[in-house]
Amino acid sequence: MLFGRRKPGYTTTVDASADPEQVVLDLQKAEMAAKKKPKAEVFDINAASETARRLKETGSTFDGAAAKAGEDVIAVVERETGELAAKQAAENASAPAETPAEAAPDTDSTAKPELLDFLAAAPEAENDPYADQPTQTAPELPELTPAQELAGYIRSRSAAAQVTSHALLVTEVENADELLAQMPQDPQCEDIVARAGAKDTYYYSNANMSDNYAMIAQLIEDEDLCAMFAEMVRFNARIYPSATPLRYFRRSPYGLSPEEVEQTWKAMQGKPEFSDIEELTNNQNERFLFSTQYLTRRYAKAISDVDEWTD
Amino acid sequence: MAETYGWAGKILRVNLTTGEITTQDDEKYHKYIGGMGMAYRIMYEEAPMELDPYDEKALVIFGVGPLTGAGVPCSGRMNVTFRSTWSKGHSIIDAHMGGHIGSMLKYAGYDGIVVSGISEKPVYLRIEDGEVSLEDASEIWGKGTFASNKWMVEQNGREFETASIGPAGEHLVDYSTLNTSFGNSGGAGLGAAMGNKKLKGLAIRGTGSVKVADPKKVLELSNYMMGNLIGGNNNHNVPAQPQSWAEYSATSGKNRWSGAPGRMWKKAPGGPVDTGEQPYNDINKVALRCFKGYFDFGAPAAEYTVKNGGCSSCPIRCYTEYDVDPLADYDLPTHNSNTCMPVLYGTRVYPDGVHDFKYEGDGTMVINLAWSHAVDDMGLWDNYGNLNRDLLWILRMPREEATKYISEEEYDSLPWEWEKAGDPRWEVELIRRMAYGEGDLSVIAKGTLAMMEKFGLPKSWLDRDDDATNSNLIYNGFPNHHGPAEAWQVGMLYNLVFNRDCMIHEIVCETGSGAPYEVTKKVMEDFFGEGCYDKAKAYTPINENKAKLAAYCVNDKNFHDSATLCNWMWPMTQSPSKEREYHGDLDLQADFMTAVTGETYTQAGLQEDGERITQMLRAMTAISFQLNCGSANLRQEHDAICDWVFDKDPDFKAFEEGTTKLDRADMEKAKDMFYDIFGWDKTTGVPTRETLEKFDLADMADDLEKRGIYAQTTEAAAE
Amino acid sequence: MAKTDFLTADMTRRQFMKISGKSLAGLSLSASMLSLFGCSQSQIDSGAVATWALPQGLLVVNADLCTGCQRCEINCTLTNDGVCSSYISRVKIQRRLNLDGAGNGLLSGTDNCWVYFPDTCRQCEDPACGNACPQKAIVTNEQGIRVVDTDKCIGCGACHEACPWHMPTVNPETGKSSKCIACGACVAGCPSGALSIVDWDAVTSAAQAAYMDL
Repeated sequence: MLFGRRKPGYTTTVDASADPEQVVLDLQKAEMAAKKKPKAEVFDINAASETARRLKETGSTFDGAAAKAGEDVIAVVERETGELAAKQAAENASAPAETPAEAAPDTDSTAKPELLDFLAAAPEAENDPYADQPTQTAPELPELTPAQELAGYIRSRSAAAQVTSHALLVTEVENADELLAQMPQDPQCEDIVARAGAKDTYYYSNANMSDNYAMIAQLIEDEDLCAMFAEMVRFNARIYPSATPLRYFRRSPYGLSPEEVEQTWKAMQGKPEFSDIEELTNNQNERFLFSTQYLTRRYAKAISDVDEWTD
Repeated sequence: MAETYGWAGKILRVNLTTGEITTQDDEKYHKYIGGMGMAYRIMYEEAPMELDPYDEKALVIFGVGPLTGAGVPCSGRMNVTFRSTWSKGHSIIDAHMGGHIGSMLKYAGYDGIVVSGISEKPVYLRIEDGEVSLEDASEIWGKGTFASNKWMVEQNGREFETASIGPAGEHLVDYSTLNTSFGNSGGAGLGAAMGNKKLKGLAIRGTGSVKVADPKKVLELSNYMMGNLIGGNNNHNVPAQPQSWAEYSATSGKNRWSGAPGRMWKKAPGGPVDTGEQPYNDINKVALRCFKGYFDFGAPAAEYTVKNGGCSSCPIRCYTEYDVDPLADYDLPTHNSNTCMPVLYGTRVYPDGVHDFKYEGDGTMVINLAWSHAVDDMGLWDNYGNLNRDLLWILRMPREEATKYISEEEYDSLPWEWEKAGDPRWEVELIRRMAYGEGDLSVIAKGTLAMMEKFGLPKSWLDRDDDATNSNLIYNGFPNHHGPAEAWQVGMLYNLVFNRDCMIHEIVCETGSGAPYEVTKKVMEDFFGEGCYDKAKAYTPINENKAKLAAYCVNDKNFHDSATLCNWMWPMTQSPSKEREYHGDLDLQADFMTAVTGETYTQAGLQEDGERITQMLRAMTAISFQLNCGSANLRQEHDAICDWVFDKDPDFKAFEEGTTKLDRADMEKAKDMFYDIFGWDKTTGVPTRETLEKFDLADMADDLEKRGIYAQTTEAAAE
Repeated sequence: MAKTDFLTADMTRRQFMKISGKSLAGLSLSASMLSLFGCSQSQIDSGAVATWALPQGLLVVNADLCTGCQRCEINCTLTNDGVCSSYISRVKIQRRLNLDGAGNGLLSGTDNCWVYFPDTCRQCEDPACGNACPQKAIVTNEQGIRVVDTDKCIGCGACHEACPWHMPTVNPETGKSSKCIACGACVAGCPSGALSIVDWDAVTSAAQAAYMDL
């Protein structure tokens, strides 16, 4: 294969202004409403047609008629191109610039026809350039065992950055435990890993998720913020080594609020099990935590300070 | 002309005095690769260092190489060689630029343009495949680079790529640039070198192609690179935030693989685009990895980002394209984009600080983007921040102290109320004065050395330990570029070689990545030997492998500016792939050379080719220093290191955990090793005859001999 | 209307053929379809997204994601011409980068200076390029793809002139026209996902899912 493979991941785009769950609900509502509506709603394909829009905009009259009629095509093309250029020049002189945004006057999504409804109702396309070519489909896969199917479910959640709790699996699949027990023997499930957390066991595919990320995900699922802080501050001090900015826990995938971060760190102080975790402030007034098990204060401060830097 | 792959096969020669335009078969330069290497050979043969940089016979040489426009990822670079007017020795120097113009020059059929002479009236060079002409530029002389580039495209057609100098270049301001499409620029005084020739710009359209020997292999290698080796910008090989597929991330949250779930291009026309996760083997998300604005400014950047941009062929989009709408309130352009120094240093000229505009913490970013557009429009260079540092040095003084250097009248004519208010028009006014050479203050844009001379500052001014206003590692007028603070003695050594800031990123790409030290150390030691890679702020004394690594960096960078490849991305030293144990593939650039040119290249061979350029640079530098500084003893005159490098962090000793300071004796030992590796005389740092002959540069050895430079070496050794 | 319209990949493709080459502006998409296309409803509304029904999947072009790197042009010409070029590429971005003639582009100095995106061959139902060819050199090959028969092509440029977007280009080095053959090289190498191909099985599944009882 000449080009790389695609891996499922996050969708690339979102409407940040909207709550994603609400978006889904609204769209579902709209779909249901569309189904109930009579199909009389008229959708002007020209309004949505890039070709038609551009043809209209360029004022092109060329439709291939000359070739069909056996006229001197080049002469006709030259003439029409000349006319078109003159017209465009005249238009450009007077008309303001087009923007793609102007192509869509309608922004009220509930009033718009749903794509699939629209397609089903539209007339068949003529002159399909690929009419004779078989539509490519994925090769037939061998039938999966129930355990393999469950592994696929875990795998797809891992690809979307989620670990799958045992509790969730048993509610989804009646004999989940039985299937999970079969996985270690099945080479096709060898990527499925179990990780014990404080409250539950979590499953993930190490083909789609790193062990370290699964550790983070498990700590998040455990919902013991003090333990999570201690674990990650020690991990970062031992592995990189680095001190951990308090801000670290506000970022993805932790996503804690500034208040949660402050409360957690406050709650940890004075507890003997967290006595190795200390705070420092760098030369840019940013606050960090570090573990004295792995870093001296002097070195932790030095590597947290931001030097005068350039690109 | 022989059929060649990679190289277009010919260069253009343009004499602005006579208007004569010719082409020349360039096969004889192929052993210098192209770009920088080719230009150095041409400069040596045709424009001796005796020439004043503004002499009619002085050359400005635009050069691309066999990989430019050949489809190799991160190859959209153009090198421009000319003579420095502002750094010590007035020697040979380069500007390096990105954008889309380098590949377009190749498509038009040229590996380079050698410009000589001085035009009577302002002209621009129009190239449309084989049709090359000098066109009247009086319409745009005096105009900013954005308007000028737009005008040239309008005049010639939308398929033209253009580059223009601004008022700074026209007014022969030493800190001046040539600017292409948007924010891509070549600095180092290129604007003035062109302005002196009355050459306003270039407009190029190429309908041809770059022939490649094995197109399938080029595609395969590109795919291998994009699916296995490439990281974020600077080839940082772990993401800035945890991503589910990744083992590691930068704990600080700051590196140049800065796209991440929740970090959005919020001003995209169709609503926010979340940069999301970018698994290392998904080549269709590579362009979402670098979110340079987020790296530079944090969350406020997202509020103003429309999308990413960058150079031709490069999947790493290191330009963030913004709509900074608060600037409209000051009648300043809001659509701004840059990736490098122009977006990082504008706040330096606000000693009283900056304020938020529209979002919490957006002050730095808004001010920096106003700076970016203004310097790019004026074609003003910042000498890697020395412009800003030198301005800060004087602007933060009380009036009575500052007026020792500039007149009271000039001091009072500055719109200080804008500085106090954090108004972006303050910086724009300063930039305008610099670009037009107005007032005593504008000596700062003539160079740090010119400023020191005018203000009567002693050499020891460069020894000060004040990182806000002094970043000069050596006494030659240009600052630190990824030196000791990021790359211990290695960084200090590679900062010694050039006649401008070194532009070497071979080490900072690793040290800035945020991957665990042990992981990167393994990669580096496997490639470059034991002990070559120090831990952050925990340095060890110099050793042979470090000195070799420093020499490798210099040669590798010179190859990049000749091939051309982007040195921010290349070589592929590390990888984001756990399966590869984070090892990149140093041979890939040689493999690309082979696939593109059809001739066999190896990484070792490319090191040799790069070193040939290093030796030419060193020999020409020695000649310049003898002519302009009275001595060709480069160890003394060129490579002397400023005191602050050894005296900073008084609470720490060198090699103690927690500091990046270096040790004087250790550094002299490092120079001995470094000179030894390069075959330079230990006393003078000049390439020996044997060394130059090894690289087929016997003519340069003869020249050094004839000039008495070798005799000086013998004398110095006897002392 | 029923889910039977989208029972197989082939049926789904025929459905999408009806709007091939057209902006999706004016339509609303289900959440699963948006996720599959990697875009948002507001991008659809703004006219940033268009689709093409190709045999190998649904080509989705998202202008908001294009970062102007020219890798589509590179991959097109390396794959189809064995050389690297911008001018003869069957997908075109360079000519829109600086000034596109419609107020967009880096140098436009307008609010649309960050608006640039690849032009792809529309694969028109009634192709102006083919109709215009005096040599009838644009023919449908055995795979059903319209290609330039280089034996017949005389490089007159009628196809280039006739196409409203001037997509076919006469290669000045070979004197032959080039026209997009939907090989997908540009898509496969697009580093930002501005060009993507969604496989028909996935579109079919999403369509069926959308019709399942809620």
